[in-house]
Amino acid sequence: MKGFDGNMKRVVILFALLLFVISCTPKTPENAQELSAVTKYVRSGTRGVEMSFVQNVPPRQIYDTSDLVVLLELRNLGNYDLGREQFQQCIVQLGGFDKSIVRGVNERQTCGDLPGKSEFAIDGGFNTVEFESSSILLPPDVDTYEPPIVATACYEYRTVAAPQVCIDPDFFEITGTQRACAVRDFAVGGGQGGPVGVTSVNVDMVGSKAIFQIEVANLGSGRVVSPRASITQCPGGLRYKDFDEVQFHAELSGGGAAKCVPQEGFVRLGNGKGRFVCTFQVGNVPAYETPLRVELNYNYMQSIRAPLQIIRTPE
Amino acid sequence: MKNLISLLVLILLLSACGQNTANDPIDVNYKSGTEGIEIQLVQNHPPSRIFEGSSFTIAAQVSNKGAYDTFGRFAIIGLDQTYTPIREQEFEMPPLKGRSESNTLGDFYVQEFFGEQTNVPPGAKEYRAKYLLLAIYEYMSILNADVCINPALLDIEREQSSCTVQAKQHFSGQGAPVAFTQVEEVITPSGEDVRIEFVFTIENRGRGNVFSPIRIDDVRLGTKPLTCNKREITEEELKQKRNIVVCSRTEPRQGAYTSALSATLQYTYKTTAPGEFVVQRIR
Repeated sequence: MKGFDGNMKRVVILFALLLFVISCTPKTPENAQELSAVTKYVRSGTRGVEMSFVQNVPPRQIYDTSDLVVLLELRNLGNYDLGREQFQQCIVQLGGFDKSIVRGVNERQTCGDLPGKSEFAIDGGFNTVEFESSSILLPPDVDTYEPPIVATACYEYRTVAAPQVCIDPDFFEITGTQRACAVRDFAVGGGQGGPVGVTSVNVDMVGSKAIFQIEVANLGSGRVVSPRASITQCPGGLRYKDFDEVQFHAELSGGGAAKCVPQEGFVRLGNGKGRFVCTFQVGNVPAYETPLRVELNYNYMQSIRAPLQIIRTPE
Repeated sequence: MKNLISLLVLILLLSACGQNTANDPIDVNYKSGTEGIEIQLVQNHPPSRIFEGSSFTIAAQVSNKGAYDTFGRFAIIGLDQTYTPIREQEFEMPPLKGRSESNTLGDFYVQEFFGEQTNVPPGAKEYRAKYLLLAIYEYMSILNADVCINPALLDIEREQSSCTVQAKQHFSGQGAPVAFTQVEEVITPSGEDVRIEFVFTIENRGRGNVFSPIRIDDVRLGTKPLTCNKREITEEELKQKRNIVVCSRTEPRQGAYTSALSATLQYTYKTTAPGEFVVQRIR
């Protein structure tokens, strides 16, 4: 009986060890053997261009006789390449301070070449941008000046979602078990490799028409800017109407031309969420599953800040 | 014994953690409070009771407890020259530096008034000599405030915007008796630009009186000058609470930023301190 208890103990310990090892295994696709897992990872997520200040650049406090250097790290953690096409734009603007005090900063710079996540570079593209001022002029009688250093990235972005949908015009009244798929509404979680993504697709079959109600949302931490607004106006020159608008395009393989509402192909987001409806003429066919390709085009604006204190050098 | 050593080590560790390094900049705001020149009578100068026929000395410590350098005049008034004659009743005050990093208390000096042979009026047992020490000095107040300018007129979420416009900022003092007590910020569209207005409220927060019109100078946003609706507030206007100055500037629309708003007040201020002593007849 004692021997059995000892064996039992060993088994329990071995099982616990196994569980521990399994739980500690990283879930990044680096260890994923299958390419499909990597592809899935690359095409998911809710991030776009992420910025961070290099530690202590800018420092927390500087004297007015010092140079101000700000070093930004940019990483494209979404699934859309930036800086490759000729007219594509991604800019970083440094602000938050009075330009008559912190002078001579090249405050607006391009992000450079920032490819998105891909099967070959799962961490996305990386770049650094440097801003410098060697001329700080505190106004007379001002001993300290504490502006926040704010870096704002404005960039064009695109999210492509391709959820599988079931098309079933229901003309061939066969039993449910014989159908290839069942028409159902579903939620899409985790994003599609961009800060704006499709969150749910509601499907309605009305005769030979497939009607999709597609919900999109701002899943990132920044602000959506209309693709109709020029990046050159971002951030300071933007108006209220320039915010929270996404251009959409939906297509169904072999589904004919979509008729969408809003007709002009732009959906406005309220509280970060928006909805558009697309109708496809699918004809009299038996049930089948096909990807619904939804393309969302938008500009995105994101900021980070660092505190700064400029102190007059004692005379 | 072990416990004591452990406690000492712990205290040492804690105190070491709290210490500033040599590289830490000095961070004390001397331009706060509402004090200026303070007059303090020196004890026993004169004694509270002296006998007729004796001379006397009135001494006062004059301290600059504000944050700005000053000069002016110091006088004694109210003494009857017949009974308590004073050799010289008015002096030039030496320049006195205000509080600063290198002079944390501010400059001070002792002013003496020398009195000669005292008398008591005929028929009286004693004479109560009341006097007033009076400092009239040039002073200034400098306002420095970080303000948020959002010329885009867009209330983008807090984390996107560099700063949030504060409609009103209140101040207790700038290290001088006359103070900017409130600044109101108003931003309005003006064509393609925006007009930024600052409404300054100015008050006498000291224990004395303003002795001249208050001049408003060097009103700047960053290094850019602002245009003000008036350049002076008279003593009368100050008393009647017509103590508001509006300064403005037109800026192009751009992203929100933090700037340094600065303004200077220049004025003459009067501070007094009462004193008395008794001249007693010798029987």
